[in-house]
Amino acid sequence: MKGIRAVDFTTAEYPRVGYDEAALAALSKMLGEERDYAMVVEQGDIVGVLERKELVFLYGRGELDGSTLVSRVARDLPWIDSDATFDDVVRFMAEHDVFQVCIDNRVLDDLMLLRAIWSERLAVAREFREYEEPKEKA
Amino acid sequence: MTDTAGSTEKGRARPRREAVVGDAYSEAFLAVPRRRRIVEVAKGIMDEGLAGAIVTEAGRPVGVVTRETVVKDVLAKGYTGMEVTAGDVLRAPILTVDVDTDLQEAARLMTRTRIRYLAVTREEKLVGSLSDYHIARLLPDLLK
Repeated sequence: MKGIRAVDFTTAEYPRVGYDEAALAALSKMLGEERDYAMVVEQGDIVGVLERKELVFLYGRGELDGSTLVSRVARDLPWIDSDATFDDVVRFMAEHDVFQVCIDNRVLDDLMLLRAIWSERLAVAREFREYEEPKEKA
Repeated sequence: MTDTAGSTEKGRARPRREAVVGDAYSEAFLAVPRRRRIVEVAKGIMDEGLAGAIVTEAGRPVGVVTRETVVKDVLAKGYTGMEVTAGDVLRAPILTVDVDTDLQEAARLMTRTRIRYLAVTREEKLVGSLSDYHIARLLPDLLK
């Protein structure tokens, strides 16, 4: 994973929201696009992220309603250099406890990361291709 | 991967102002034994589009492995997933809610623990899973 550029596995397809948008409307966008986050975009640039889990946590605290704005819940989205490798991204996610990163105004999330690593690993990991789950003992 | 139990999705129906876990949870969940290699657990999670897998022992839930676990406790520590099993990295004890638990109470449990993947039981038997997704998809109707 050291030599694989993460940016090659990013996407420009993600839900876009604004800070002044209602959080529940933003949640509907996430659900519609089957993502667990939405990017806060200003003037074409990603500036923050709204995570689905944070909205659920807010609901758990009894503080989410129709008047809640994205700005209440969104946080700055960490950027990572465009020449970052998968190893860099994994370390970055673990250190910062974030599961979406922004690379060149594109996005790589944990699910995309794992899927990419998985496919790469399938291509290189002979031992796994030959691995078979041990049979259950009767 | 042979341990996926059930496939019926709950929720979407019965939007109302007060909801219980039974309105939201999914009967589809991935249950894996402790010895299952993480690389396989991760593949199951990705293939099913799940937040995580429930680790079981003699049919009882004992812990959970989430996507975050795979990133933080496996890959970030330099493991490939081949040499680590579910039992090595599971988060335990698993958090459990009953189908009759108030949905906001379940969300409060996630809020308090920052764990967004719970086991769902009925009469102490594992019947499904509840993630932040299952709660979130009801919120636009519950809170409008």
